[in-house]
Amino acid sequence: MVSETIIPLLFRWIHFVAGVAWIGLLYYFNLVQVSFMKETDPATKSGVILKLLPRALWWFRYSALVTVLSGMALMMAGGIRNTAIMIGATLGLIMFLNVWLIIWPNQKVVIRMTGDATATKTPAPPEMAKHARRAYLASRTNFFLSFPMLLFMGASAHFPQF
Amino acid sequence: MAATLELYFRWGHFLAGIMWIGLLYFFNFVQVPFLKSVTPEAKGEAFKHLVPRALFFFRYSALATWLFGFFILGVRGIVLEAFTLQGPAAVIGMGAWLGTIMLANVWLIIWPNQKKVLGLVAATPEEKPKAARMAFLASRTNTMLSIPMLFFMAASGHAPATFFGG
Repeated sequence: MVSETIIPLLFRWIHFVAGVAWIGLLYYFNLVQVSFMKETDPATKSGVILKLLPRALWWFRYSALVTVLSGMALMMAGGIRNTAIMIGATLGLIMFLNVWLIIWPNQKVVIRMTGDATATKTPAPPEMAKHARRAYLASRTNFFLSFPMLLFMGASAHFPQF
Repeated sequence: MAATLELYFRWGHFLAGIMWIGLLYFFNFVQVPFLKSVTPEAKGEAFKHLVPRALFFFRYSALATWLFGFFILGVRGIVLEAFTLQGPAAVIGMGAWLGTIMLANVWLIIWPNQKKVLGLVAATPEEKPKAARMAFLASRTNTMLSIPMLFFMAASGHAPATFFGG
């Protein structure tokens, strides 16, 4: 009974909390922060990059990690094998790789260059725009992938016939 | 037909719910420490351009989450059992009640008080910090309620009723 119900339930609970934090922050980045950065002045923008973004990205990338790990644990402990979860998990894994291999490395460069530019009171180097663009495109991609991903996550446990 | 309908309602419930609670976590774990650490000018900018947009998505996704959840219960025909905590529906009922309290906190405490903080409704200089404090406390409360709420959401569809003695 413990192994059949309680263990998968605990993994699913962790998966829900971490997944909400991860994708919720993804929605914040795409629906709130992008528009805000376009509207505001350069000084506030630097302030956001240096003081808001590092904290948001910390929660973002570690909640992504916990979501994937608890998801894999749930699949194993719950013996979940169906087409829907395979598609959903694959989409989730692509999104996870986007976070750790594209978004985070590029955002790190943006944060470092903004910090240097602020400290030396010089304009940021032109390459910064390239890194910001790459992170933005990966983030947008994840935003769009989250829709089918969540459809298959919802379908997997409740409608395994899909 | 009912199963397909439920699948779409669940999809909407996931999308809106993630947006709502994700923004709640953003407010509590990112925005609060950020606003403490910046200059008054940057804080003013955030109140003008960032907080209102975040609160727009926050309060409407909260409403959509609740409605989609209600529709799922409706399709299953267990609205009454859930809210009166009867039988196996008591598990989702606990989640539904916690979610309902959280929705009420958003629309009846957080949003009216934030409107005063943001200057969308008139408030005296004495009222503003009080309103900010009220909104903050309700937001903190919702963050803490979200953890058991998500437990019941996770448990309802999956842990067999026998596990909860239903």
